[in-house]
Amino acid sequence: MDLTVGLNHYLFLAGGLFSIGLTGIVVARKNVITMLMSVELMLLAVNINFIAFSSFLSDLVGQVFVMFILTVAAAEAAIGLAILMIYFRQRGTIEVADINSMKG
Amino acid sequence: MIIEAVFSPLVGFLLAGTVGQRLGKQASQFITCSLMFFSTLLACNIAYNVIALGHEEAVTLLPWIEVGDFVVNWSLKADVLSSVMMVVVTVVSLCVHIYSIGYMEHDESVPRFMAYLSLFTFMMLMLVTADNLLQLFFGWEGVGLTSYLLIGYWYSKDSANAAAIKAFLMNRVGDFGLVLGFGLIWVTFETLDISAILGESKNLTGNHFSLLGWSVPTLELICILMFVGAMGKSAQLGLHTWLPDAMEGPTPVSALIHAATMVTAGVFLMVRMSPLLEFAPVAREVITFIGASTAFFAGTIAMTQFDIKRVIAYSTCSQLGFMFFAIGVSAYSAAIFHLVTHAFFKALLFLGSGSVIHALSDEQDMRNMGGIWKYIPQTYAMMWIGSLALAGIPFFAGYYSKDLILEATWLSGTWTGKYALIMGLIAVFLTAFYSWRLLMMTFHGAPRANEQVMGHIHEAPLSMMLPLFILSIGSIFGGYIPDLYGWFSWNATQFWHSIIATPLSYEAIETVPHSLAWSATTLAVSGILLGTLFYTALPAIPNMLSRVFRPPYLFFYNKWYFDELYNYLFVRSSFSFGKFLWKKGDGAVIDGYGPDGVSGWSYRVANKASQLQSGYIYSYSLAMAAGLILLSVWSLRGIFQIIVAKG
Amino acid sequence: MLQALSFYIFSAVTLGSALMVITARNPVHSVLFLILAFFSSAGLFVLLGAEFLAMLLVVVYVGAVAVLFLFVVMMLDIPVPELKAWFIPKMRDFSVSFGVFLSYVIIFLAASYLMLVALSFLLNWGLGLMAINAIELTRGPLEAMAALRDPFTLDKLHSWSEYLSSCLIILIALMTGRHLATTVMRRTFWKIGHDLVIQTPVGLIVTLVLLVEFIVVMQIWGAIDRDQVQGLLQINAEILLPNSYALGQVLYTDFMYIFQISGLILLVAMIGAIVLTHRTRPDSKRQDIPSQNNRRKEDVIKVVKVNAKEGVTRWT
Repeated sequence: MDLTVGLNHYLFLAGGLFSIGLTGIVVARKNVITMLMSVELMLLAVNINFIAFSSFLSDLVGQVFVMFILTVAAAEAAIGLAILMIYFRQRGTIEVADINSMKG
Repeated sequence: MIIEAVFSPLVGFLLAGTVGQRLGKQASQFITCSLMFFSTLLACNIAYNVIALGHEEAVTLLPWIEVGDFVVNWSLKADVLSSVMMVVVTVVSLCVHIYSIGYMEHDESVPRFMAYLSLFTFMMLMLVTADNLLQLFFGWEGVGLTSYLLIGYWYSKDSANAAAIKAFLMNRVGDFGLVLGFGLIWVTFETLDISAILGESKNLTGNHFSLLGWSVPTLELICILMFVGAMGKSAQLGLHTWLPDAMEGPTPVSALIHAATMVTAGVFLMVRMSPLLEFAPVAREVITFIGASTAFFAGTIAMTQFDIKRVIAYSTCSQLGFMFFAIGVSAYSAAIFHLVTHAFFKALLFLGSGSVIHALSDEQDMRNMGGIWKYIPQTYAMMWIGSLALAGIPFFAGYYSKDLILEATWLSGTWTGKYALIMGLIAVFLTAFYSWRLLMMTFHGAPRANEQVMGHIHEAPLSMMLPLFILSIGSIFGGYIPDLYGWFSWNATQFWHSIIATPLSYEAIETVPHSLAWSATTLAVSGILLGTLFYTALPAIPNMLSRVFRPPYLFFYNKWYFDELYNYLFVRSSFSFGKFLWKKGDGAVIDGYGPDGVSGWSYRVANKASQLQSGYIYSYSLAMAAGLILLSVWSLRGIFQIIVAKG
Repeated sequence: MLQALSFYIFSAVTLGSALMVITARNPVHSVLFLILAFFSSAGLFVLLGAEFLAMLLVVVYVGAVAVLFLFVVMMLDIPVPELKAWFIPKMRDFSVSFGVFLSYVIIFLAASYLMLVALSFLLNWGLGLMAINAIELTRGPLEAMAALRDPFTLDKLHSWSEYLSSCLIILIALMTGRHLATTVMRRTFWKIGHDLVIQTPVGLIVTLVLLVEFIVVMQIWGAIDRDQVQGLLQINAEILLPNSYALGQVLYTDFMYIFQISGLILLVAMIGAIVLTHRTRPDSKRQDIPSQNNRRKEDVIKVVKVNAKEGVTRWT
């Protein structure tokens, strides 16, 4: 049995994580916080992917890119939560099923 | 000169048709009649030039169609046949124009009527002066069109509209055969020029055409197809049912179109193509058979009808049958002779009956007439002249032409010729019988009209009587004079200059026994006597005969049930088919998938599409994810191939 | 050996806590599970030799972002909702419902597949559009995807019509599959209850397909010739540098612009967050500098002549 953990394993992990995050957005939609957290999960999966490739290809650019992803993810989480706060002030609820005023 | 002759009626139509309403009744009548008169003079002049002086005239007007090898021009030709026809058409048309001034006095859209009459004349003139088959077809269709317009002139009457449509449709059926014939001519001869065709025809006698697997001689097929067209136009047996119904139109229309000119267009076509017809013996036998049957059949019906115009209409049908079986036995000259004489006396009869109708305040049923000969003596005399000419009494016009035809049938050796002879003789008897039946019922006996009508009886005005006089002159002398000069009989070959075929020689005609002529005359006279007797002195006999022989009587009275047969065979199925196409085809399919369908469909699609915009972000992100999948499937094509290859 | 074991432990924890993030009832629990996921993936990062980034993950993500999430969750006071199943409501017996769901999915996929085969056969044979090859499709979806033609070899109209038509028939096949499955389920399972309303779990199917795709792609990794791959920034594997040192060598030199821009992004985010959520309190006192500067002498000072021994009041 080959116990060496190769790139495949990391990619599998990242893929699974990404799918879980996507499921959190489109299938299990309870409240907006959960959706934002699922977005974070997806970003995490992408990070794992980058690091794995960077490690196995001996290429540093993957890790540099992860740094910037981190930056942007933090900024986006902050803004997203700020918007959520204002929305909650206005509507009093963050139930996803109620956010459909753009329905055409 | 031929251009002016042909186009003057067109000018009359345009003027009366466009500004006639504004110019008023009198002005449009004057314009059309004077233009018609002008055309008549020119036609007579042309006839004189062509026949007496031998100067034929041919004019090319405009190029019409030039597609590759197919070249057709608008051109007019005046040869012997055309000029004879032109004279007949213009004279009768002029008489009808003048007559209409008086007859249509109380109508409210006289300019329209006069315009249509002129248009018809123009079309007929185009037909007879055509030197190629396409232009002839133009005139052919044109007279069909104006016939429709004129029959349905009183368009507020449902029966008139129906009759007009019936006439046009039956013409169309005939035209189908005609167009096929022309197409076949084009395929075989590669030209539509008449003189070229007639010249070429003797070289193509052996030509065969494969029709549905059978190989038929081409010339026979062409002639039969053209005869189908002639059947439609000239109301021969099978395509005849429109003619009696066409009497819905005003009487001048019946006189012009359904006696003298349009219905003779078929005869004209056949005679025009007579050199071609000479090479098609089977076709000629068919023509003989149908013509003879028509002559007999129409006569039997005319015996029983009560509408004065219908009797004369069936009489026309019968006489057309005569002309056709004359063509069938190669007596083309005799057919034209009969055409000319028939034009005169039949128009006379129609216009005279119109005078009677006018006198009796629009009464057309002979059962409500009677005892009026004292009150309208001039009309009475005219009707007598016309009937004598029709019956074929010696010296009057009809005798010479009919006699020539019967002699020709005697000379033909075929069994159809003999059949034609028998049928022709019977028809002579029947013709005389029903003509005098008409005269007696209309003018003699106790008056059966009510007192108000009888009080109003008056002779027709001069505008109506003048044409009658003119036509009566033609009916009296129209046979004797040509026979004197032998134009249509012993001098025929010189007369016609091989424009039409004249296979019958005078010597052959001499061999016919005189007993034939005598027997025909005897039959006519006996028909006259019988008709007179039955309907004046012994009215009980026809009543008893109609009761005893009830089935044949009903059969004749109901026009041999042709209308019912056609209704059952064609009309019902056409209506249901049309309805099906309208409801299902047009309604469901074209509208359903077209305008209505597209609008409804776009509404539904838009409805469904708007559901995509649910307002929920998660569904939008789902769509994004789905797009991502598609994109990755697309870009990973090569990878799938590798996977598959590796197993 | 140890490496493999630790990898499996860390990844199991990561995946498990990710699942719990989206299925936890209490939102605070889901944030905590998110933090756990971050921690375990930081461990994974260390395994991969990126210890600086592992630290960064813990400090930035856990320390800042996750705490921010927690703050917001606490502040909004989200009520703990009743347990709502995703797609099969009010099922008492889980096995029955799961069996129902499974049969639904099977019928849906089978019907769609058959319909797709039929339609693509029609397209191939009737119209000659070979984008989806019916014969390949009968062998399997992978083979069908392998047989997709490269559109750039065909002329424009042809390729457009091929791919448009194949999209159309896929759509039609899916719709018919859905209709068929729902009618079958409604007809056969009506006795279970009227509240059995099965919406096609499109979301789930999409994510499953995505996952399958990832797996498929990973299979290929073995087939690629490793030496052919050119990295952008090759490091010499023999020289063992600390991760921070290596990153520092490139970050401030080659990636300077991006570094500065990411700083700007953070600045903008901060300002944005403040602008969005800032509430002006109506009763707080503050200075209004412009009006202070625009004050005119005439508006505030009045010179009054005062008579002796009379004094001055507010109203003189």
